[in-house]
Amino acid sequence: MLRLALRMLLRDARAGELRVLALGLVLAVGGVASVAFFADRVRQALTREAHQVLGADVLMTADHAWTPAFRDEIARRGLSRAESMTFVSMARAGNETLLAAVKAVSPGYPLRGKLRIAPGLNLPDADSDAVPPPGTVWLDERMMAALKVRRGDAIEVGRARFRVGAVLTLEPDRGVSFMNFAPRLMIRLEDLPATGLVQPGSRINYQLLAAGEREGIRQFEQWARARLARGERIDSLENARPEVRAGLDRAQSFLGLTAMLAVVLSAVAVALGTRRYTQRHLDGYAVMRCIGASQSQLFALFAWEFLLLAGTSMVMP
Amino acid sequence: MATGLSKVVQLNESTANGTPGANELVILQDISLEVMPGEAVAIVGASGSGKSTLLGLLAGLDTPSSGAVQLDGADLFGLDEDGRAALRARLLGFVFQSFQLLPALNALENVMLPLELAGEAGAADRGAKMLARVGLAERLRHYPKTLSGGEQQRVALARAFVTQPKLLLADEPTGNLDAATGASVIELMFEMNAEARTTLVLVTHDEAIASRCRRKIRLVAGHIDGEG
Repeated sequence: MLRLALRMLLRDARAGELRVLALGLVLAVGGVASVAFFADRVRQALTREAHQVLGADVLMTADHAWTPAFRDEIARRGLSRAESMTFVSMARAGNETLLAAVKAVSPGYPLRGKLRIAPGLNLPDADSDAVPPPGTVWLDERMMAALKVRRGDAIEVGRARFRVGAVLTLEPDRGVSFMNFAPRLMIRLEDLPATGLVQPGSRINYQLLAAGEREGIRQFEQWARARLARGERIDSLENARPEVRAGLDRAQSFLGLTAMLAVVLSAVAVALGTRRYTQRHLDGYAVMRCIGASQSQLFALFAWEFLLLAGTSMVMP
Repeated sequence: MATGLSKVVQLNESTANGTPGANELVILQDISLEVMPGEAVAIVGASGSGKSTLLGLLAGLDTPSSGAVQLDGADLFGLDEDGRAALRARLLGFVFQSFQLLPALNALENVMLPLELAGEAGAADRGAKMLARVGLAERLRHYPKTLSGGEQQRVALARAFVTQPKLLLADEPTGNLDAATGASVIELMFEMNAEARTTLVLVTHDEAIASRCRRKIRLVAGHIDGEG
């Protein structure tokens, strides 16, 4: 029966009887596959973009310094690493003082996304591949205006004196916590000890950032999660940037809806093709019944034909 | 009188109804008919007299509301659907008014089809020989749409005879052909019928064709009105 079905399928194909149905099937399979593929790529891209708001694939935060074990594990797994420390402190320039959210960052920060800086207030900004050079601070626009400083002016943070290097216009991982409402000030991590601000009992957040290929990150996160101590946490999109997570969820729902729509349209195309095929073959079925084909034989014959056709259509795109 | 076993066709007081329900329409009423091996029987009558329904009963495609139909001694409606299909494959050949060739199949494949469905070997050789017999040796690979009406009916004849059926049922085989073509197709059909010693039941409204059959049964409003 399979052989006869294959023969009948080839005869139908040769006579052009399958053109509409095959086209419908190929479009359906191709459409669904490409929408699913596209949706998956967009989902990956959105997730990657979303990680920019963390500045990393994994962002770990602690209220104390991270032990070397975590740094070593990141290195052992071949992942990129960066660190930052954030706290609130007074900054002074001449007679002006201002409470600032200080972020001290290591070279390589951020691992996902880019910092954007401008040479002065109201000047065009650009991506920066580096962190502030030693002895330099980058201030956000609010702070520049409040302290009435310009590029090259001096500013004091703790016991250290810095030179204003640029206006910080964008930090990809700027969150929405209370501290993040304060004007921003960024220095290099190596410059932090000179400020004398890191004292026992200081309220400092220690961030460890890791990035790399998906599987390595997944495994590292799993490893790290099992070893978190008191005051240590792994920030994800859900808890660090819930508004981004919500947007991402909405985008994914939309993509899912698009894929479903493609499935429905494909089903309609296949149904129309099948209807045309069936109508054109109805007399043929009747003739075959007259010349001795049983119902079960005809059912098997056309079921095999459709299965073979479906198989071919799945392979073709 | 021949015994029941030797009869190819036997209808006993068969009745066929259309549209079941309150307005039930009786298409055939108490039809009794016997056809002996090798006989050629013409069934004539006006449109709507029940000729095609009678043919449908004989093929087991229509079901009688009462009575019985025997083909080659087998009670047709004592069998299930698959049993009737097997009996048709073994005993029957069909020729239709509108040829009923499968458009996606070429002439040879149309003739091979009954053999392929029956799982018989050598379908291509037997099909080609049969097409040569009907004068279409050069048209094996032609599709029905590229053949004339007469050629299509010849292919249909080849398809009907390729399984060497005991009984050939022909429903107005010249109905869609002009007079000359129809005459040549009828000539061929009677020739092949004689060669294969097939029993023929032929539905026609053409008295000239009917008169070539040994028996002529006239149907009027679902009854046998006379036999000659």
